[in-house]
Amino acid sequence: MGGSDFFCSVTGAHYLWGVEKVADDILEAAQDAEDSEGSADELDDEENGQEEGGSPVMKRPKKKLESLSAKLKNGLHYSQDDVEWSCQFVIICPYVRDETGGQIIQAEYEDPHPEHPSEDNITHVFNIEPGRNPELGDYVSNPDDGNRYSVLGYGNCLIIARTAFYILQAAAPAVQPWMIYALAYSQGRGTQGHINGVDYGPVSYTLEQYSWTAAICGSQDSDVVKHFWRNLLTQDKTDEEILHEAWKGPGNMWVFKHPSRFPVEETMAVEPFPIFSITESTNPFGKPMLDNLPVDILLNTCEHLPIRSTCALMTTCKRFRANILPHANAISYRRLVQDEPWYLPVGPFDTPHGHDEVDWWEINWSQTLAVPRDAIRDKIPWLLYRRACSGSMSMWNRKRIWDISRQIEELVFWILELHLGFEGYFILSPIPNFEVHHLRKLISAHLLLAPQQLTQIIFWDGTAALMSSKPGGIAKNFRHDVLNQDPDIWYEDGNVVLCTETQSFRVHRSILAARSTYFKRYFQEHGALPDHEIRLPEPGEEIKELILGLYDPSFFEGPPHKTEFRNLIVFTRLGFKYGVDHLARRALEHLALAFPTSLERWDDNNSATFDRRAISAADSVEALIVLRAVRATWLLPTLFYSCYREHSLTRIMDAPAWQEMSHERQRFVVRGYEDHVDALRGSLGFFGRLPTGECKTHAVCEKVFKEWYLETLTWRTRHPLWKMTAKKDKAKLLEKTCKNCRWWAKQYHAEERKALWDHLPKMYGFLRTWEGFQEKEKRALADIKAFIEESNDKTRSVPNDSKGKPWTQDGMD
Amino acid sequence: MVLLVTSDNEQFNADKDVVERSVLIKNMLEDVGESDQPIPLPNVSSSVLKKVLEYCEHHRGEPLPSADADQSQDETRKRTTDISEWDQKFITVDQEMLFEIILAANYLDIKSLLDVGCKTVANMIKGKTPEEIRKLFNIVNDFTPEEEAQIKKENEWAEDR
Repeated sequence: MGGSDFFCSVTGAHYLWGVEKVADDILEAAQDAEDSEGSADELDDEENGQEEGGSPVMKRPKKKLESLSAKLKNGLHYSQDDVEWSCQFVIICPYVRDETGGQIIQAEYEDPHPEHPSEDNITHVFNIEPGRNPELGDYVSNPDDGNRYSVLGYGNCLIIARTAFYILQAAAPAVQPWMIYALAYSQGRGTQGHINGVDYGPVSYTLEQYSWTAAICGSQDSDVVKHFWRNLLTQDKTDEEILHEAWKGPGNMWVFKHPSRFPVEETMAVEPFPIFSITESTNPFGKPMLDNLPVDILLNTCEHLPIRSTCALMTTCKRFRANILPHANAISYRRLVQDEPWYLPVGPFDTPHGHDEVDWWEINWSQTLAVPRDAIRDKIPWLLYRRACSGSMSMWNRKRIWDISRQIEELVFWILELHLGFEGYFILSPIPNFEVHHLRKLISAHLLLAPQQLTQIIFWDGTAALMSSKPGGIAKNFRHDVLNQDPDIWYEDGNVVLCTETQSFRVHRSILAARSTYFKRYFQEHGALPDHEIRLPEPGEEIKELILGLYDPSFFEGPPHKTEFRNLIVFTRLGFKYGVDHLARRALEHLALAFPTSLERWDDNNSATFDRRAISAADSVEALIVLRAVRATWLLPTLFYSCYREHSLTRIMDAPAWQEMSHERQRFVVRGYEDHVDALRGSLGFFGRLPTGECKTHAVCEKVFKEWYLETLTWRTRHPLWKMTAKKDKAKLLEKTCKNCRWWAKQYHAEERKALWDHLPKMYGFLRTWEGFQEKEKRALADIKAFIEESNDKTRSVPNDSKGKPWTQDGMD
Repeated sequence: MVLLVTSDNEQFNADKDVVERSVLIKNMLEDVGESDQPIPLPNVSSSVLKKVLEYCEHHRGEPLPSADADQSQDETRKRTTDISEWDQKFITVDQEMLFEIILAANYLDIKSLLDVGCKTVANMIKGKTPEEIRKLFNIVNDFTPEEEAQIKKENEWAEDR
């Protein structure tokens, strides 16, 4: 053989050089085995050596190869038909367009491989045959189209036997030629034409650079093959028995038989099944049994049976036989179409020779049955045909090719899935002997085990591979899908890609490093790889905000610019995590205006940049957790106050973030809520001191304060820091009292209000006083960089701190 | 509610949308219109009707094959012997009951139940030799020795590859 054998991607077979090619290979192999044994006998006299010679271990074969009959030798020959189908190919190869839009085939050895195979760069060409030197990869088209097809092991074309190409089209109609190409090649890796991961059956033993057809017996080891054939051919059996073993038995010669030579003759060679007369003797009123069920139920049951079992059922008793046999052909035909379509011809297709199978089928049946071509379906003895199929080597091979087509479909399906579902496909460590069903198992196992690592399961170069989930491995090999590129943030001159679940951003390393301590450190640790990709766990829209905030200093302004509370949570969280000082500081400044550490600033709510009374319970709870995590605890007492004031306990507990808190923290919030509600009653204590002793109009003032007090008892508000003059009707009420009472009422209320304010942190369970908080706030904002570092260090050293530790723990530091 | 009377004179009350899974009963109800008349089912015994109603109850609300869609449904209906888990459990009964259910499903015209029954029988037959099938279903071999010799070869199939 030549040095560049190439195999059909679907059959896995090599073209046959002639009818006796395989026989020659086999006889040569057997002769080799005999010669090597013979040489061991050389010391003995050649004639007498037969008596005592031979190793005691290996029994000598009964016959010498030269004594094989011509009938046996010829019996190993294939038919001319078998040779022809193995030499007619469809080629799948790259092409480019010329100026006029015509295709220029690129099937020469030195032509480039398309990096991303698709229908735009891969085509297929019919009518390809081995050229003058096919062993050197020389294939030609017939008639000559002027293209040269260099089919080499490491070239860039695939060949598929035309018959198999059509079987593939019928068995796996969704598989386009370019998909097979993409499947067979990846990353410029060579192939013998076969597709890794496909089980080709016994043919796979011949898939070597030097094709050696004798290896179909089930081994690649030349010594094993040689002795196998020698023993098989020289055993003490009749020629028929030996040939049966060679073709249908362990010799596996059936794998090169023409796959669309349907067993028409064999079907007709069998006598039709006889029907015997029956007398209906079963008792229809007896116990119901299988053999007295109505006929239509029996036939319905047969519709669910393999044809072979229906056949068995028909030979159990005469009644079944008489009832089923007249319908057996119709049932068999339906079962063939439904369950075993490979036993029927495929096509016709509107491509060269696309009618061949149907034509052959119709002509042969029509001649054999002596009916017109369009009338054969009702005349074919389908049961007998199906029975003949199971003994037909052509049909064995056809079923093998059909099965391979389905395997290819499954592999292609998975690759497309992976392409669509994940962003790239790469190889780290190929898994040897990998097959289709393993792939399926592996992927489903991974989906179950680690759904968040989906993007890290990367497959395929014909063999499957698992990608390491180690950070370096992913970042380096992660290829990004164009679909996910963010349309706004994709700088062509960018040199790092930030990837999120939904979108990616191409940005500049220098800007990230200059504005974010997180990225600065990241690049120091990981070095400067070109087009580095970094996966971030945050949602895409948050990272987009972060990048906009990084690039554009005015994107997120500090007070007095108005803002949204939701943004502040995000910028606090991201500003701290990614160490972006200006974002973190501005967010904290906004928050400080609405959640101050002094009563004066609390009362002066005019400078607030967002409406603190419009914050949802969900956002409030999330903010509590975020601010605690970044240790901006001075904001917490008033944030708690706002939260308790605006939301009932049930609504607070319904917040999604509630479940993130430890039980200890949840108890802290509940206890704080109860104390908060109780505080309202305390804030009404001053009524007891009114009217004052200096009151001039005691009766009037007493009446006003008493009514007022009784009304306050019906308040449903949770606002102990209420202001006496905030509401107009209360101001009016106050006007009715005497000057003295009015002055003292305001005085008493303000005193109690101040006392409540001072008590607020302690009431909620904080260890720090307002002074402590103010000091911390001042220190933090004075050097936000240091504060962020400190916060992140704490979070790193105590990973669960953000969720677990009590709120008050902070008071200790 | 619909009142059904079995062959052994037992009465069953069942919801209309349950019993209407039987095309036979559905047609009867349409014929008699609104009426409290009990519907006699002379071909179904109480033990079998109980099972059949259990099946109808479980599959209540599932779409019924319409009469004129029969043909196309037959085409698309997959001729597999797969049976759903619940049906599998439901149909795990002795042979006599199995055939009773099949006969009742046939008489009452409940196609899906008939299919479940036939598939179950098919599963019992699958892969068995004629002798094994005879043994399983108590079938008497009534072929003469000459006839048997004639058909013996029919079951000699080459192994499929």
